[in-house]
Amino acid sequence: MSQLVIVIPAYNEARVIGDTLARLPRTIEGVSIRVVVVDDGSSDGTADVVRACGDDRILLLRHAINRGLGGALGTGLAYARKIGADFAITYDADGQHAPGDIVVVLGPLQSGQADAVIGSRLLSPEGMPGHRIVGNWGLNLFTYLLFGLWTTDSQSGLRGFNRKAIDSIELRMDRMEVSSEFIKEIRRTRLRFLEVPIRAIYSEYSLAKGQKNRNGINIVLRLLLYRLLED
Amino acid sequence: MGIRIFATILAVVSLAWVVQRFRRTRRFTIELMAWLVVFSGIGLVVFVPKATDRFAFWLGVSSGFNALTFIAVTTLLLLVFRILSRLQKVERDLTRLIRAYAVDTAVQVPARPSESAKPSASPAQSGDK
Ligand SMILES: Nc1nc2c(ncn2[C@@H]2O[C@H](COP(=O)(O)OP(=O)(O)O)[C@@H](O)[C@H]2O)c(=O)[nH]1
Ligand SMILES: [Mg+2]
Repeated sequence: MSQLVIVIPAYNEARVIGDTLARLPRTIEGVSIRVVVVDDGSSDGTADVVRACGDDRILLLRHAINRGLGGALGTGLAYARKIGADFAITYDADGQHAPGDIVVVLGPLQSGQADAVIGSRLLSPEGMPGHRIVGNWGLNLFTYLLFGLWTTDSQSGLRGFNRKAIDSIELRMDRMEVSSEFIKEIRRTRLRFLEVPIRAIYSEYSLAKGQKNRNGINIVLRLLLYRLLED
Repeated sequence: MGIRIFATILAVVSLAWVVQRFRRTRRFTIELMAWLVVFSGIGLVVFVPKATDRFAFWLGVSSGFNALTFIAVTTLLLLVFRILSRLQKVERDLTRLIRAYAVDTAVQVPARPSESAKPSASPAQSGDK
């Protein structure tokens, strides 16, 4: 049976991560599930909640100090690479994804239709607040201008990769810019890419701590700097 | 002229700091030398403006002071750029270090006691080494 690693980056999510983990699918047709939670230097006891959740499919990896979303995702994928996983799916800890969408992202990977899949909230944007939609399109456009691949949700947290993608994608950005870097890497390594529509659950919790549009400006600046310094 | 008073105070304070550091460390470093050059430069422009005018003419700006401002801004920009790329490298190395440690110390979450009571389930510990 092929192995699926679900990578969950978590930074100070003690309040919700127990629930997020409990709602993960028990089984998925055709794969055995491993869950890799990367505790990104949380100070609120996130790791304790994970350790106590009683699900032995879960591995806890801990960053001694906070490295940001990109750092955490890179660690999860490094682990998936190390154990030779066939598929890896990135999944936010704050409960903003619908557990049922995991199979939606996995499908095209299993069928060999794509090497990399991004779950797009904007293919069906009900429930997404207006200012988010605007900010997101801005970043989509910017990502396209910098890296030349168009997506309808460049900032989505739900992504899927097959082994070829896991092995070839190299992440260098530590923070939120990593979402755009995934897209750059998909293009650079010429992976077959597909977008699938997913749901976004905008709870009060995830809205309060999620990306503000101010963050978007930071992302833009860092991406620009990255282009300047790297290429 | 205000700028003379300002430059003199700045130079005296900074030179005092440079000298004090030299006395503490007993090392005449590149850094100290750089400061001396910078302050001699400022002194030259402020007190002997004529000296820099020929250079200004060559650069295509109207006065020695403009020329110096131009050089200062360019130098600062280059420095900022260098510091940013250094910083990026340091951050990246830090992430690699923390990642390597996190991957090596991965811990498997133990199954809930009621489940591990079943004969098949064994107490879980860090696997994959
Ligand atoms: N904000 C933040 N989130 C992090 C960090 N490291 C990992 N994460 C996780 O990254 C995921 C997405 O973060 P979130 O703030 O909800 O961003 P958004 O959903 O894209 O608006 C969550 O599961 C976080 O716990 C970090 O340093 N900062
Ligand atoms: Mg979120």
